[in-house]
Amino acid sequence: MKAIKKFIVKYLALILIALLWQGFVLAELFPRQLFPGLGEILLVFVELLATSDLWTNMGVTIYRILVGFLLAAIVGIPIGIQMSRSSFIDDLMQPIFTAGYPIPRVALYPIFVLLFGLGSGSKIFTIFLECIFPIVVSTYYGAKSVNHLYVWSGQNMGATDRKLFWKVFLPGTMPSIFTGFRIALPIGVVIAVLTEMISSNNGIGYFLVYLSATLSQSKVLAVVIFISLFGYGLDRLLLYVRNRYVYW
Amino acid sequence: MPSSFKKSRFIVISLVELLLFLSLWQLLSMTDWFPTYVSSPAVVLGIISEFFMTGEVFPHIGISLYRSIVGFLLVVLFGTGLGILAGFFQPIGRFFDPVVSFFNPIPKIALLPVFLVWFGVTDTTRILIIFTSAFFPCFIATLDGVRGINKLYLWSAENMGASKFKMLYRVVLPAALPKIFDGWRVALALTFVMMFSSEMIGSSTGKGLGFMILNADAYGRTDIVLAAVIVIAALGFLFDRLLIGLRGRVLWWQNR
Repeated sequence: MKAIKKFIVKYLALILIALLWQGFVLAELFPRQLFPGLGEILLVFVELLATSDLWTNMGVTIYRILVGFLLAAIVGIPIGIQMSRSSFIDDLMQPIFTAGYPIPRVALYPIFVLLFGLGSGSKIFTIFLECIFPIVVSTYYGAKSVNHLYVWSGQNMGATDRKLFWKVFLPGTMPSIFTGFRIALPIGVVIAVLTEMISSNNGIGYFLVYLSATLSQSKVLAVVIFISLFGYGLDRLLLYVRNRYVYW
Repeated sequence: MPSSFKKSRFIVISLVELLLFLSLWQLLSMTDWFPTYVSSPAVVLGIISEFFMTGEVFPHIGISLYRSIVGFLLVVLFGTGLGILAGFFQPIGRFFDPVVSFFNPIPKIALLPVFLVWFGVTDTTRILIIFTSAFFPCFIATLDGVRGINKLYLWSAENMGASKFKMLYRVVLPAALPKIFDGWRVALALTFVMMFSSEMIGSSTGKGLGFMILNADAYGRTDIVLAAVIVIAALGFLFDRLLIGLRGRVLWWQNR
């Protein structure tokens, strides 16, 4: 009894939203077609999980997100660390990453479609471009705050630049790199869905637009639930990896 | 003043890089290596100046800015307001916590088809998408800012007999303002992304920069696409600078 009460208090807002939604449905203020009940959405959601349409499209989307994100990490982390170490590189890169930050890079997507075609290339490149900014910026600030004593002692003990990068800067910056990841990964998901919605013939964004064109609102909502569960899971996964491997 | 020297050096380096980039692009488009459908910067700049001479771009800019600014102001109003309340009053904070953890991971752009069915191809749909996308970063940043306030400030204000309202206005708001500004900056950038994407996806009303890109793209006019992209980028940059300028004015004690 106490557990139930605790649960209700904790999730009060969500319960209220669900009740409100269901109340609207029961009052039939809007046509059922456009405003399906929660039970129906859940049912459609379970049905959808059994279809291959969902999984093949999701697979394509996951592939694009991961490749774009990993590329951004591979390119972005060294840039961020080198920027913090050399004032020349800092001067060179600072305008790109400071002044370029507020520019919506996704607006370039139509150009990338021309350059890389309608397939995965243009999407991956857009995801890469959007993800690299938060990764570089948080790596840069993280590496700036690496204790100088560690760097000096490393240098004194004759560590090469390469060794310094791998043994001192990278581990020291890891927490803020993960902060950058946590900002970048949801952006990657959004950009993947977005670019697929604009122009594509596969991927979860395309699937969403396709379902919406067939006017099945409950299916659209079920896919939205699926995508949000995916985004939530991805974030949890990132947190798990961080707690597991960046334990210091 | 070393900081102003640093600032002007930053501007000089940025300009040099921009010029280098433009001339490289121009060179590449004059050789045959580059695909011919990617127009040269000279052509694109010509289109942009033509945009402004004829004034045909102003209605598009106007409607796009209207959508993003209204969305942004709503975010500032609700995101910051609710964030402060949720951070200051514990029960309200506990009430909103599950909402954040449930709705925050949804890529809000996925809701666009849903909103399109409910509200049609209208500004309401677009502003709602902008609002839902930018709300959470602003709300979370504000909440963080308020919760991170030095408790000593609150205690001393309480001791000196400040009312709850006065504490909110005099202590909590100024102390959380740096974080709040960070949230606004993220929200503003998101506003522009969502403005562009909602105009490109939700088959448009025929106005707006995103629509302009979509339309030009359909006719294969890469030069117009690039020109519109540059206009969006310039607007995004400009509004970010405006926000930073405002921050410098309001947070004069924070020498950042």
